[in-house]
Amino acid sequence: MRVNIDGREIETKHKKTILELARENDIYIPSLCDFKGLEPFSGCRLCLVKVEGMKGYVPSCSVFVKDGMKVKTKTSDIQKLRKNILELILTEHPNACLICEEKENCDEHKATIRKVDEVTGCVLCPNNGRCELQNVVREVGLEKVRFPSFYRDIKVKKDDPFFDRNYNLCILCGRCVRVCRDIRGLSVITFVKRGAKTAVGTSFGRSLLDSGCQFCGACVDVCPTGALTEKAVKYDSPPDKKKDTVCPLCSMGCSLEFNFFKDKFLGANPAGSSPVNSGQACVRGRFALRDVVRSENRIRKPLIRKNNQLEEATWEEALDYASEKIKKYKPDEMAVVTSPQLSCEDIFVFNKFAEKVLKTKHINKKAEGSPLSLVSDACRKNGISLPMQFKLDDISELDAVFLMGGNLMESAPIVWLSVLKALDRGADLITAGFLESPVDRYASKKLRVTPGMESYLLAFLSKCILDDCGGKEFAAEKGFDEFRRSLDGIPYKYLEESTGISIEAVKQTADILRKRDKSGLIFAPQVIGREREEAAAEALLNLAFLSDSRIFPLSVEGNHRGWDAINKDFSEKTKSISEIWNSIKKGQYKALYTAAPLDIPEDDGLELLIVQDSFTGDDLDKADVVLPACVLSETDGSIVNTEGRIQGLRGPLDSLGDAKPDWEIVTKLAGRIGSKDFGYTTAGDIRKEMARKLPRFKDISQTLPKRGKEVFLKEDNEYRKKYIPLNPLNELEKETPQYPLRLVLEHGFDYYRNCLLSEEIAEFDLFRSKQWIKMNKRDTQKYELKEGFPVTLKSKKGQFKGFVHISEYVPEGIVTAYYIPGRDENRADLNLSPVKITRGK
Amino acid sequence: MKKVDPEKLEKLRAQITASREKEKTCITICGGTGCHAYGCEEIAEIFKNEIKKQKLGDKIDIRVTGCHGFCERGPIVVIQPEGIFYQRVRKEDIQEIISKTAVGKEVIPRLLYKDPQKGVRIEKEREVPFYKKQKRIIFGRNGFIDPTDIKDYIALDGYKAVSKALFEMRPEEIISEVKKSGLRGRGGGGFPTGKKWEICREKDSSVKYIVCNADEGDPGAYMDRSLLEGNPHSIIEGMIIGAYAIGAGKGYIYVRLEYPLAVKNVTLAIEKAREYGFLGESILGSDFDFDISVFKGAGAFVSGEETSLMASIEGRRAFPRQRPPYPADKGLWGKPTNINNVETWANVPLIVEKGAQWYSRIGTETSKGTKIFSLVGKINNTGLVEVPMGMTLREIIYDIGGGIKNGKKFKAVQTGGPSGGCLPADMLDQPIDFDTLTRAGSIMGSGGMIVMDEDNCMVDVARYFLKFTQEESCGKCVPCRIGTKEMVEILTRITEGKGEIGDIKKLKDLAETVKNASLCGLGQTAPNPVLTTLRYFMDEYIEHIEEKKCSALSCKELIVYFIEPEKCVGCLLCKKNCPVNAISGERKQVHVIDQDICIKCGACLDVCPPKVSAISKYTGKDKEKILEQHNRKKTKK
Repeated sequence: MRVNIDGREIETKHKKTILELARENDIYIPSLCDFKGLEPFSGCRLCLVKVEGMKGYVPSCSVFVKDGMKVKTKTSDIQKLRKNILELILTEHPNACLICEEKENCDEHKATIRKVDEVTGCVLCPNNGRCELQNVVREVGLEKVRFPSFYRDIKVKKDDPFFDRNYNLCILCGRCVRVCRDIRGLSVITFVKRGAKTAVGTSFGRSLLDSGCQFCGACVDVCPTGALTEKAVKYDSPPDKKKDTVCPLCSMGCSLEFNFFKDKFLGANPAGSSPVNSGQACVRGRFALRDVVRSENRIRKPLIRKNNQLEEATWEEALDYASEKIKKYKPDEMAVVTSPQLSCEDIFVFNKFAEKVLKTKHINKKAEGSPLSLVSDACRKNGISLPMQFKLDDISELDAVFLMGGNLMESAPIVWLSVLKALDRGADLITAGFLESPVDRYASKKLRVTPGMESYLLAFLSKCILDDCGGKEFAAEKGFDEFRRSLDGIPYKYLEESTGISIEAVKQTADILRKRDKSGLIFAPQVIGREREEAAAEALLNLAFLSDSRIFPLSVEGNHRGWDAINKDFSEKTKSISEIWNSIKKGQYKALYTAAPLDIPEDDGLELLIVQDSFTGDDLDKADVVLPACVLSETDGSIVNTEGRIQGLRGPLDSLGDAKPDWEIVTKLAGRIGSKDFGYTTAGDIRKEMARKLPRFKDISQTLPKRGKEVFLKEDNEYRKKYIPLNPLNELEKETPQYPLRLVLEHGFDYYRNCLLSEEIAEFDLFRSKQWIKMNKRDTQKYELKEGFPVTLKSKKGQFKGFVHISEYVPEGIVTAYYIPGRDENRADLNLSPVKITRGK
Repeated sequence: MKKVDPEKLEKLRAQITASREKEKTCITICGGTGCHAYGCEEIAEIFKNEIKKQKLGDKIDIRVTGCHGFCERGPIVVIQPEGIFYQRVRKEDIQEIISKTAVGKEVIPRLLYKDPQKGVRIEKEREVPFYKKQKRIIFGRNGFIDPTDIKDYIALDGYKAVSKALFEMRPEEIISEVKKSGLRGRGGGGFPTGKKWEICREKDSSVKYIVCNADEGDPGAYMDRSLLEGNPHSIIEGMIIGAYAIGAGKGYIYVRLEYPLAVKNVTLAIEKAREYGFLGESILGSDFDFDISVFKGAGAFVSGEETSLMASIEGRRAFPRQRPPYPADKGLWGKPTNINNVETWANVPLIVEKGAQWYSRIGTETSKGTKIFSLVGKINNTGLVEVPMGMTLREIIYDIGGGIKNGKKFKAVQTGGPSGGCLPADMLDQPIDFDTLTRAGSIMGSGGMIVMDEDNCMVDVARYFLKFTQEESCGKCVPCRIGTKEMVEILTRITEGKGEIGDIKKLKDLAETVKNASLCGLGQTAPNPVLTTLRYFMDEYIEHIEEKKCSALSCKELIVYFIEPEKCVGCLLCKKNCPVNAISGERKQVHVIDQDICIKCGACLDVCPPKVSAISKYTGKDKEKILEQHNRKKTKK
């Protein structure tokens, strides 16, 4: 296509708007409402241009270029019109500074004036220097405003966490409204009222917390003015440096930019060009990460227990102390606990250390509640092979999405964005879980299954498919007969009763999954107990075979896939963190080296406990030696995200205190003990060895992959099916008058090593607290409880405490609490059992 | 099973006509909006009870019909088949109408309409001057149809056009017929309807929608409402034909919730149409499926704009969006969609049934057919009038409308709703069609016509209309949201006597910006009242600004009320009625208004007996003089 803009002939291939083409070619057209990735809005009217053959002035943001198109962007009438429009915008926005003749002088001499609350001009505005309105005024060259100013005088909204909303500065470009609705699928904010009173707000003016806001920060990032500003950096200068990195807080591995001003770390923004998160993030990466990595609770120096007190020590002392102690233990007397929140390099070195130095088989290699681990274990156990890696685009291209395991907005917000894209294209969403969730409003079918009965629901679906199609086409496949017999043995009526779902709903779902071209089963994390989780993973595989659906097993922690891949290459023997925890309880080990947070029991019988962590935690109380580890953002390791994408962290931050990367600590320790196999001086040295030794890491090299360069874990391409017969489940204990409620644990995601986000960050606690005991409003009325009341949950097996949180998503008769593997094992024992709730601490 | 095919439909029609004795007396009571306000419901009820009581049921039929249009003279009762036209009928008249006219065929002169010009009483509806010059091809059937009875519609050749379209015409032929008829969109834009259909038909999509825009929001305009209330089947029939021509399977009628009777009648009509097989699967036994849903809008003015109407149906805020893409490309839920206004749809069956040739004989070169206007304001015969395109404003206002109220002088007429323009007296002989109106700086709009007399201040009128569009601006685009607000502020300033010379330039500048830069029709046309009053009544602006004078004596801040000492008889009436006790004076002594207290409510002027008419309004220099005098007296005291 050839397009003529202001007399310049421009060649272009792709479909794009006049505005996009002009920008690519450095032709300036002012615009305030247009934003990359959002549908054209055409509200600010600043980008009006003349197009030959089109009536009047047309907004260049919404007109696509055509071959032979002739565009004028700078005629005098356009420029006059633009000035007039901009002038109107400025009547609704404090404008004194924008058109002030002393502007430059002021910038120079009053650089730090803006520490006030009432913003009446740019010098007082937190957005000064990064405001798009300032740029537009400069470019358009407006010098005066002929009309009286209109100050909306709306009270600045500060009661919500993370960011403030000052709608006196809002120019109603609608970017926040659109990003919330169109990209995030939420519509927490919208336009309210009409005429001159039009404003952005929540329904009924409620707080964001009460409006279902997920605090992803997308609105803050698109706001062109100072209307939405992040509290933490509100009064800081605009960053003078940005560094690329990857968020370590969940398995998505979002590309982030760390912002610095004069080397002070200001916080993180999602990176626009990322193939993973394309400019989006979530509350963890956008707001929490800053406070996590620079927490007051970071361990800055090695500690050694002397006279029953942990005392600061040098690295020399601590390593000597630890290595001397370790040397005393025979193979298998010592256990090692690693975590999927370590980098690949760390995990590799830990495994090697356990194998070569400690010669112990007791290293945890399995995670609870992680769909990825569950499905891959089920495959391994049954000789099944199928692709388990994917790209997010594979999800956006689905025609039917079966989502098992609850609230994707919380567990994997970026995966949810891909689901939304599929829905936009007309895909059907079916949600299956025991709780309601905010994603349900998009579901064409909601299957509210009885907690714990997920595998039966999946079997129910399989049975419906088989009975519908006769099953002949599968007859020759491995394990089919036995599987079919196991289904035939269970009558529909029993399935209906045990899952709580009608056969009609299941049949319709089965129909959708089987008949759509591209159906996908997204398996999101949930906690329903080990056996039930395993049974669910197996049942899911069966369903995938029968419905020809693809499985998307999600992972939980930052480097879950990397951890899983490395562990498997070391030894087949699997142990989960809770098995190790239980063994500690039984006094099976004499010594423990942990790099994952653990609740160590009172009388553990351990002779030696080495804790390696970045944050102080309860496990330090028992530790004999504490080794301060860097957070991932301080290392140049690599992590593998939920897709299987290997990404480099590129250490944007300097290490805090004396903290060292985990791999380096282990390497030094190995050296002290006398091993010659750990000659690494950089993470790159480890990668070199990994690429050689681990087939799945064949594609990595000493230097880290750059952002945008796609490096994935190698995957076995073989497709081997086998049906697994349905395992009968134990019946759940029934509720009694004494224990009238059922506790269902929800997977907690808001932690990084020993740091609990809601404990670390007061604002996070308002948004989502680890201490919440969620229940239905009617139940709170029944038990005379109110929001925030301290309560104790008791079952026959034990008890724990928390605070009441009323949630519309929890059905009556159920209470939920968060569970984090390893550190909440006392809660795990109570899962799915009847409980009673009592007031008081 | 009531479902019919073309053959059964004709049989049914014959049956209905046969069962209705042509000569049987029928009392038709107008059930339109205007007559409703006059209490026609109660009147109809009494009529029914009386007929029952007197056991006249087999001699006399009662029918509550749609709007007759002559709302000024409601409640209206017409005795058929003679067509005796009674107006301003009261409860007390009912007995007499039944006994004398319905039974005795005797006319009651007191209830007849009296021609104000000739002073004679007129007996027949069609001879009333208000109706005489009209050409009521769309609206005429309203008066004969009970909108809740589909049989009434069928009896008047209803659904004949559907039958013809589905079985005798190909979709292309229908479109070509509509194109040839010259029908243009009655919603205001005036886009050729056939062309619009053709574009939508040519779009390759298995799913298409059609929409009937019944979000009539112009204040004072109620023709779409009266059509939907009075003859809903004609719109449904038009939509079926349109859907068949375009290839749409689903239609929506977007009607505002503030029109409860329209919602009720059209919903019922759709149900009935389904029962008879005019809607649903295999319409009239053909292989064409189509159905209609009623969507109730929340009443935002901007929802009448087609893209925001679609957003509203989709469940979003009624925000317009930039066109192109037009609805034919990207309409409801992204599918090709054709939107026409109520009146446009109502024209369709006529064109199909009687042919484009017949239709195109009515109207002007570029604007064919008739147009329904709602004639309101300072006019004697308020009501809905249907006239052929090309009739002059003078004919409408004077011949049909009966001229200006109270013998005042005509000043301007505002056409096309709040965003139309105000046309002065020297435009009265302009023929009304889409193009002349546009040239004059106004619009056809949906057909609102507000007549103004010498008491209307044109600056204030502009301010009034702009304030309406300003408050109804959706807030999406800058020029409309802020530009109109600034304009209202300047206009308010001028009407308060605080205008400055630069204001006119600012106003013009703003008006041009809003007109050229706004996103949708609402903003693009909002400045029309200002632009046209600046064009035709500039002297009034200048007078307001320079002399602080309002010749129409309308702008409160620029006038004083004054009691003429030589006329005042000291009757105390004004004094008693003054809400702020600004008037002093004893019985049989001259009263005086304390100008410092007076709030210029005009109560004194209203109550002062016409024989006395001692109270006058003054503006400009005269006002200053009176104030000066007043102040002097006060200081003396």
